[in-house]
Amino acid sequence: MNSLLSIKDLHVSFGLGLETVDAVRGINLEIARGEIVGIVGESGSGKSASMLSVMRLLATTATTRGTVHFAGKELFSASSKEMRGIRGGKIGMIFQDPMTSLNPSFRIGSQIAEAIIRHQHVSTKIAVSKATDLLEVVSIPRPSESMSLFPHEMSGGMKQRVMIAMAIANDPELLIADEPTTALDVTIQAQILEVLKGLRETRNLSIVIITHDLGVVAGLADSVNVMYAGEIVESGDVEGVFYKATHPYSRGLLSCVPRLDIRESALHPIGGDPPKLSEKTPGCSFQPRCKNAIDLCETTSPTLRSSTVTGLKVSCHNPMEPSPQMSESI
Amino acid sequence: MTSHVDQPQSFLIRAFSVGRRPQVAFGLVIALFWLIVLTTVSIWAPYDPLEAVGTRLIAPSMTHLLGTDALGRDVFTRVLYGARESMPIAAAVIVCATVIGTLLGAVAGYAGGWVDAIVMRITDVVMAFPAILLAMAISAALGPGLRNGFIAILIVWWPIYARLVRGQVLSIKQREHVEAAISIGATRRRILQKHVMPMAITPVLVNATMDFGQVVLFLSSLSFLGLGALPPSPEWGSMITEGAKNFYQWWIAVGPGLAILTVVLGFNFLGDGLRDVLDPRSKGDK
Repeated sequence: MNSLLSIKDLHVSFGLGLETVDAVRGINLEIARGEIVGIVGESGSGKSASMLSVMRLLATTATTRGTVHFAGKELFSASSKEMRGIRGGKIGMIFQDPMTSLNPSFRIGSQIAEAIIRHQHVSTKIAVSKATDLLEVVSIPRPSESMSLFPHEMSGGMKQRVMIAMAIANDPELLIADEPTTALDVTIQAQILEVLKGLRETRNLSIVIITHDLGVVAGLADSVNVMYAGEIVESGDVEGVFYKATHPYSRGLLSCVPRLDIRESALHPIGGDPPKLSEKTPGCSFQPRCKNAIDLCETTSPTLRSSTVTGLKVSCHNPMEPSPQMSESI
Repeated sequence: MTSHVDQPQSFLIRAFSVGRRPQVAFGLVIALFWLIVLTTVSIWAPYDPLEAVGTRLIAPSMTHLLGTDALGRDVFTRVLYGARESMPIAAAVIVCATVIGTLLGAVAGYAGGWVDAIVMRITDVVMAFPAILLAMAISAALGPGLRNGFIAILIVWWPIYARLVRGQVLSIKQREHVEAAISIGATRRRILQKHVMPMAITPVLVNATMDFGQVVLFLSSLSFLGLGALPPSPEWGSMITEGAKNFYQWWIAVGPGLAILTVVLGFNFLGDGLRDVLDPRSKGDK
């Protein structure tokens, strides 16, 4: 087994007053070195919660179950001291909103240097020169002058690059990017994705990218996991999921994306609402919204298995036919 | 055409530019005045504050600017020397109260749980008493004297800062840059020091400045009631007590009264100015 991160049967639930919300309901995920894995799903599907639990960054109201092995080490049983060494050292993380993720009262140079000094125990001088190199890596113009800027003097895209620089400052093996481009406009988004891609190539970095933007995943990831209501409903390599998805929810997601190349103006929103995560139903969690639902879906919850037709893993009793039209048109 | 682009200015210039906020400049002048008096009064004061220098109860004149008191001491000299009694103690109270309050409040707010519960219940207990009554009770128990007055005021004063800082820390620790700091593996201590406290400290500085005058007033109140400074020392509060005994010799109480008034007012203005500068949301310039 040479996967870098291995998540087995992960459950995350939040106590919310009297009820518990099961945000993640038993997911399994393997990430190899140098692999970019996308996790897509709508808001509240548990994609952020599952990755935050890997970093053990969840609020204290959350309880987790399952195991997470990172480079052979089990993280849920690690001490908080070991976790601090792993956070920022072995695993870097980028957050959704670069506007608020930097400390407004320090210059960005010292913030990056702080991350370096914390893990590498080098002198300030060396840390500063390393930080300057990092700014160059994430393509910030005039790195040495930019070191002394305050966060409010930079644009959103620049700040996100600084966040990436901080996240990779200690040569992590894994980078978790939680909606890294959501707060940015499309041109900046493309640049940030380029930076991430470059990092994979130069440093053999594994990246988990959490997003609801299928375009981001299509351009970046090697494999994709589609999450719905805390479960992975379909997973496989990126081409497969985009061209041959058979789970009704994945298909629904794909048809929600506006397309310019097909002369059909209507989008196809998925009807209904996501289920309440505090309620447990015996059947498939997507069943109430599913057009393909059969009787079995109401009573038995499907499990994730490999489909012989598409080579993807899908969790559905009555998967759709792989759409020939889709594979032609994309 | 003048450009309206704000030039980056030094913090002090912005804080105390006379044109913008005359009351801040006024506060600064008063603070400086008392500071100079405090440090140099023994060099140039016209009389000795503790010795009779004339007949008893002389009305103000050119030789005795604020007259003399019941023991024939020069009231003006005693008012000036009063700064040496109250202000260092007030400063010590403020420094100790902010340090204790900030530390406890920060730890309580950041750690949460039972630490928070214990610290906050202690502050609740202290704050449940009317401050002056509790301070009186404590200094009565310890016995009169400025040192005990200091201890009494410190005990009633630190919870204000603990509450203030705790509230700040609670809101700042929710911010994303703190989560980001955790995600790069920073220790709790470091996060509190570098990523939370710098932002929590502004209201503490403002409050500390404003409270300085209040503490001077408080200390004088204790002395007025006979619990602070002991008789021969020229403390403003105890001088007012003497003034009350000689009610028709108005000058005995007016001098120290004015001294307290100016200190309270001056430091309030100063605190206002400091807040305008430190808090960008409540910009004082219109």
